[in-house]
Amino acid sequence: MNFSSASSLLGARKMSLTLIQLSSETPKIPKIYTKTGDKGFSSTFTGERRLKDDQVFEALGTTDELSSAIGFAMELITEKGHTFAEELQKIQCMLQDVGSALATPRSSAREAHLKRTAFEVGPTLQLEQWIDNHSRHLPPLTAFILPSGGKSSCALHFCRAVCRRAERRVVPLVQMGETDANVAKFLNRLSDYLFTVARYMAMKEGNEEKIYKKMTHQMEPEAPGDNGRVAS
Amino acid sequence: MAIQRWRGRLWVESLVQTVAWRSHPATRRRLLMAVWAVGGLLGLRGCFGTYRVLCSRFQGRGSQKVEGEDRIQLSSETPKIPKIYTKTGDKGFSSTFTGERRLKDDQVFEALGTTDELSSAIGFAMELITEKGHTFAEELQKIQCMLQDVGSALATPRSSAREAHLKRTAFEVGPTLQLEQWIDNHSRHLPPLTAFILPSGGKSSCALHFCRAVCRRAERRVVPLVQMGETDANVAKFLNRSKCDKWQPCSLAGRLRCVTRHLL
Repeated sequence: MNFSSASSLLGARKMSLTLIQLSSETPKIPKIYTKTGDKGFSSTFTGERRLKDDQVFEALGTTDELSSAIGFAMELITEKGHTFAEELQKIQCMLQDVGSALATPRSSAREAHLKRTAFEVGPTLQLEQWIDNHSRHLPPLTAFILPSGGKSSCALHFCRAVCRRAERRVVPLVQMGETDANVAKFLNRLSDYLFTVARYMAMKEGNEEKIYKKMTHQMEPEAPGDNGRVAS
Repeated sequence: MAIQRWRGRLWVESLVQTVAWRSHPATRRRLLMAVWAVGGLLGLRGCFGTYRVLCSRFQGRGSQKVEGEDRIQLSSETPKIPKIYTKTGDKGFSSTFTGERRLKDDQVFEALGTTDELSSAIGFAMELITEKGHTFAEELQKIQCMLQDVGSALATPRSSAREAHLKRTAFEVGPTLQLEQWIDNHSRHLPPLTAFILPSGGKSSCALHFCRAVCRRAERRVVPLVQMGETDANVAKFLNRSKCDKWQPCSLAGRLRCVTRHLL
């Protein structure tokens, strides 16, 4: 082997060594998709694999949907500069804890699992306090109100409806003994909280809450040329 | 603003008449719980007003004692603001309009709750539409009122309803006919559909597309109740879309679809 080929071999070896060093120092970014759920199964916190349409995942997913709806409402509220948006953020954190509790079905949970994900009565009591605080400023209800009162108020009414759906998904799990009753109590109270703050938002923004009126079902006369466009 | 005489208030007032002379606190508590249950099952505490009705009837009916009575009189004259949370639903049960207690995951409450969700979605869409100055937002408000009537009908399962209940909450064909008229009015101005459209076309249009999808979910929740004979078929018709291709969609879902296209 002559000097030039030896040096080129050395150079190549040095380059490949450098390349190896570089790839081990630069961590691979993990992909968000793992494909482990492609066959329709997912895992609970207890390690149990269940079909994705299982009641546990239905409850979990609806709670997640609720948290997302609250996030959207929070953005509208923050845009208007209302400070109680912080309460909603805390509620999102509480919903994460609800999710952990739901993901730990008692039938497959060990003591350590249950200890880590137990959902206590504290969050429910916190909601009651917030409800009492806001209710103090609200005018009394004298008729059925429709979901109305501005964008923030309507967004919170929608959260309330999703919350009640989440509660309906959780109730059978509590009945079966798979989840602590505190989770259902929290969601029951949360829907009352969301109703209260929806009204509170309408009041703070000076928006009218629309009232239910019994429809008489007399057909309206057809409006000639009325195309519902912007009124002139 | 004049206080609207709504159905629930009339019901409670008639109930108050029958128990007005019974001042036993336990009876009053049961009456209040029944009132709250009806308001609570829709997630709308409209029955606050009924508490005031009850309060006004029961105010001042304290003891006749003189000593230390002032304090009791004052507390009975200053009504406490009722709490929005009653905790009666904490164990997972709720009441229908017929007074039946059922688990909250019952099909009746699933249909009721989805209708409530639809009304909420429509409320949000209405705000976006009103911002843009469109006048047909009033139609959507009327639809919200119709959905309240749908809720009353759903909350009155036939298997446990008396004649008086059914008469009070019957859902007629009128609202569906009204929808058809609105659809025909708006459709007149729309270009024909020549391809599948995606939910798009601006915030108001997309919000209405979302309402349409929730409406179809509400329809899926109502159909089994109609099949079981628990709810009038008019409720499903109101939410369902017409099967006949030659007609314009006469359902609420179709109405919402027409409106979304109209906003483009």
